[in-house]
Amino acid sequence: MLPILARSRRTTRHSRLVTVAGAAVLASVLLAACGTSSGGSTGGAPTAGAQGGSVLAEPAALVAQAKAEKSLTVYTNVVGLDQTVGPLFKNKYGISVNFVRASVGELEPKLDQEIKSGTSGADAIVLAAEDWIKANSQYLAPLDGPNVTALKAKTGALVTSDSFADQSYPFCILVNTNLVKTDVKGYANVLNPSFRGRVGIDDPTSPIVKAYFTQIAKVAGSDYFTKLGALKPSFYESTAALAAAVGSGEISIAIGSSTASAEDIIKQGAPVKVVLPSEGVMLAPNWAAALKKSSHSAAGQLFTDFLASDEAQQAQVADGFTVGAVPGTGKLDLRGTQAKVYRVVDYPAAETTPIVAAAEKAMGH
Amino acid sequence: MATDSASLSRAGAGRAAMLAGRFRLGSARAWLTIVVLGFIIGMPVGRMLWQSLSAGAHPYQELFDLPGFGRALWNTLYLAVGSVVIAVVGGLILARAAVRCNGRFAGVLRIIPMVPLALPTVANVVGWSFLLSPEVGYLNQLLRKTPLFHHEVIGPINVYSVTWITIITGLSLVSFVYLFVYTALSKIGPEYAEAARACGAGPLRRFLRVELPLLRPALVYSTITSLLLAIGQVTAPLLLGTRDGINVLGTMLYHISDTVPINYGEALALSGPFLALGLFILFAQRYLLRDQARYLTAHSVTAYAEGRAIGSRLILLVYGIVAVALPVLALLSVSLSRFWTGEVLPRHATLQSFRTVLSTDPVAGQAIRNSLESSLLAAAIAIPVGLFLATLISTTFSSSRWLAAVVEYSTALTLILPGILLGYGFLYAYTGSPFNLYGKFGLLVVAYVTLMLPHSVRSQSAVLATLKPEYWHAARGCGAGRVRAFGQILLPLIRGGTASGFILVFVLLSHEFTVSIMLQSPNTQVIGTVIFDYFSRGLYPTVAALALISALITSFGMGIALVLGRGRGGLSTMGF
Repeated sequence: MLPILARSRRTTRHSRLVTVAGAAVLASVLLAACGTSSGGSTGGAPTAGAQGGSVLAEPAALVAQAKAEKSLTVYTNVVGLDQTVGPLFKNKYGISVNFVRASVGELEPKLDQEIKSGTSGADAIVLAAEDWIKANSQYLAPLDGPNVTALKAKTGALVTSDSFADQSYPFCILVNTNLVKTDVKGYANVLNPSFRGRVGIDDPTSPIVKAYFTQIAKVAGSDYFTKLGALKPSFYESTAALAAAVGSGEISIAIGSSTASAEDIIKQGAPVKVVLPSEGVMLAPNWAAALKKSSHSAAGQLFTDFLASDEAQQAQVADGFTVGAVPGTGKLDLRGTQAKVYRVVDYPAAETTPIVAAAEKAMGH
Repeated sequence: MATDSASLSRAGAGRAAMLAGRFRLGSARAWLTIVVLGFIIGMPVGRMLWQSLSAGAHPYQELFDLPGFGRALWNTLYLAVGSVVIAVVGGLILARAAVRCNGRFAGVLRIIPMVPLALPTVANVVGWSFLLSPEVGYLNQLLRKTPLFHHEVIGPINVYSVTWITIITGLSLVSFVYLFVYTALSKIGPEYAEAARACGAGPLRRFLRVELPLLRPALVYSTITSLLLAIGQVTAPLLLGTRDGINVLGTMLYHISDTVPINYGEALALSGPFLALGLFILFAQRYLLRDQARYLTAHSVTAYAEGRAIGSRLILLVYGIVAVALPVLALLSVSLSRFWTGEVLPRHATLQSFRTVLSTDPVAGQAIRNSLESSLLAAAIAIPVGLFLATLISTTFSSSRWLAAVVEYSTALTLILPGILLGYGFLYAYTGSPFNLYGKFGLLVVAYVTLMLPHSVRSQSAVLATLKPEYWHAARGCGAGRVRAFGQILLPLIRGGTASGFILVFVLLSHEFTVSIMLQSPNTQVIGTVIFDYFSRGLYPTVAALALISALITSFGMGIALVLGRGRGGLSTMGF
C-alpha cells in the first residue's frame, strides 16, 4: 500500500483556482456562442429587369434615409424574389437586400420572437401569412407610398393600410404527360378510376390548404373527397413535393400543387403540365409589409413600396407562373377559371375545420 | 496474518477517510458539478417537467382524446420492438462474422458495419425512398423485371409503410449494436467456445450456452440503447410516413411544434409515455447488469481459425452492399439528375446539384458551416466537461458515491428522453427570458452539449477504466497536485482515446437531426434539417448532393477517429 501524503495548502488553493478558472472559461465560451448568429442570404447577381416598367418617385426624405441605412433584410417564402426584385432595387437605390427564405411556419415564430425580444431581424416581409399580418398590424409600418397608393386605386380590397397582396400563385392540378393520356380540365376529370393509387394531394396542415380543401368542396361538390377517397390518394408535405412526385412519375396526377412549385421542375424538362381547374381557381397571395421598429425601417418601407411599382410587378410575373397584384397582369391566362384570391376572412376556422376533418376521414388520412 | 490484515485495514481506513474528506459537500468540485449539471441538464429538463406539472392533469386527460393517439402509440411500439429485434440480430450476426475474419482485408471488412454511421440518418432514409418508392424506386423497377413480379404495376415493396419504416430504422441501429457486441466478442476470444466444442457441444449449443451468456452485458446495453433510440425515432416516420398518414409519438410531437403558438401542455402530456418507458428501461438495465463480475473473462489475444472466414466475409460484404452501397448509389444517381426520374443512369447527367450546394445556394452552404462549427464547438465543450464528470464516477479519482450517482443518473436522464422531447425542453428553457436564444447559434451549441454529455461521460469513463490507478497514486505520492498529476501523467496516456471520443462526438453531432429540427430557424439550419426541408419541398437532386457531401465530411472524421483510436483507449474501449 502506498503511503498517503497529507495534502498541502498550496495545492488546495491551486486546485480551487483551476476549478474556478475552468468554470469561467466554460461560461465565457457559452456566452460567446450565444451572441453569434448567422446571417441570411444575399441577393443574387443582377439580372436584366423588366423593360418599360415605371416606378413612381418616393418621398425624397424616405429615399435619403433608406440610402443611409444601406441595406435591409426581407423575410419571405417566395422563390425567386432575390433573382427578380432584389437586383432591380439595388440598381435603382444602391441598397442591398438580404433575403431570408424559409417556409411561413418557420418565419412566423421567428418574427414573433424578434418582436417580443426587440432584436433586429426583418425589415420587410413578403409572406403568405395574411392572418399573421392582421394579428400583428400594430408592429407594421403604414404603407402610404406613391406606388402602393396607385396600386390601391387599381386593385381596391387587396391593399390595406399596412400591407398589400404582392403576387399570387394559383392552386392547380399537375399532370404527368407521359403517364396521363386522357384530357384533364378540372377536378371532375381527376376522379377517373384509372388514377387509383396514382393521385397525390397536399397535406392539409396549414390554414391556406385547409381553405383550399373548403373551396374544392364548394366548387366540385361536398361529396368530392368521398369520391376521391376511393382512388386512395397519397398525401405530400408541400406543393413542391407534389410537383416533384408528378415529375418523377411516383404519381400521375396531383391536386393542390401550385404553379410556382411546378415552375422549377417544368423548366428542368420534366413531363409536367399545369391545369387550372375549370370549376374554379384559388389564388394564394403573398402579402408584403414593412416592420415599424426594425433597424432599417426606412429601407424596409421603401422596398415594400417599390414592390408595388410597375417595374417590380412586371419582373415578378415575367416567368409566366405568377399572377401580379393587379389582376390580369402577367402571362398566366386565368380567363374562364373564376379565379379568386384567398382571403382569411372568407374561410373562418369554424367552416374549414369540419370540412377538412371530413375530407381526411373520407380519404383515409 | 493478523498484523498484515490490521495494517491493511488501518491503511484502508486512512485512505478512505482522506479521500472522503476531500469530497465534502462544501468542496469546490462538488459545487462545480452541481452548477454544471444544473445548467446543462437541469435547465431544459427541469423547467419542462415543472411546466408540465404546473399545468395540472388537464393536458394528460386530453392526451387520449388527441386524434390518432392510439394508432400512433401502437405504431411507436411496433417500430421500437421491430427495429430493435432487427438491430440486435443483425448486429450480433455481423459481430460474430467480424471476429472470425482474419487475413487480408479483414480490417476493412470489420469497418463495413460502422460505415452507415458516416451517412446522415436523413440521407440514408432518403436513399431508401429512392430505392423502394413503389412506383419509381430503382429496386422495385428491378424486381418488376424478374419473373416473380413482372405482372406487378407498382411495388412489390412499399417503402411508405410501417413495416419498411421499421426495417429501415432497424438497419440504421445495427451499427450501434455491432460496436458494443464486437468489442465484447473480441475480448472474449475463441477459447471458451473451443473448450465447449472439445467437450462435444454443437455450434448452436456453444452459442446459446457459452457465447450468449458472456455477451449479456453488451447485448443488454446495446439493446437498451437501441430501444431508447427507436422509441424516440422521428426521422424515418417523418420522411416516409406522411404520404400514407403514418404517425408515431415522435412525429405527433413534431407536428405540435409546427403550430403557432406551440401548445407546450399537449407536448408535455405526450412526453408522459416516453418518460415512463424510459425510466422502466433504465431500471431494467440496472437490474439485468447488477452483477457484472459474473461476465469477466480473461482478455484473449487468440484469433479465430481462418478456415471459417469465407462465410463471415460474405456476410459482411452482403451487408455492406445492402446497407451502404445501395442507398449511396441511389443518392448518386439522383444527385446527377436534373430532377428525380426513376432512371438509374440519368439521360442528361449534370453536376448542377453539387454546384448548387457548394456555391449557389446560400442556405445549404450556411447549413454545412453551421453543422461543422456547432459540432466542433459542442464537442470541444462536451469532451472536457465529460472528462471532468467521468473522474467523479471513476473510483480511482473519487470515492464520493453520492456525487457519482448524481452524475450517472442526471446524464442518463438525457439519454432516456427522446431527442424530440429534449428539443421541447431546450425551446422552453432557452428561448424565453433571460436567455432569448431563439434563432441563435448558441442554442444549437447548448443543446448539442447536453445531448452528447452522456456519451462523452460514458466513453471517457471507459477510457479512464483502462488506466491503472498506480500511475495516479505514484504521481500524487511524489507530491504532484491533482491538476499536475492529471495534466502531466494521465492526460498523455488517455489523449488517444479522448481524441477519438472528440471525433466521434463530432461525427454524431454533424448528423444530428431530431433535436435540430425542433430548434431550427432560418439562420440556424444544419445539414439534417436542410436535407429534410429540401426533401419536403421535392428538391431531390439537391437533397442527394447535400447528403453525399455531408457523408464525405463525416467519413473523413471517422477515418481520423479510427486512426487515433488504434492505441490505448481506442474505439474498442470507448463504449460506442
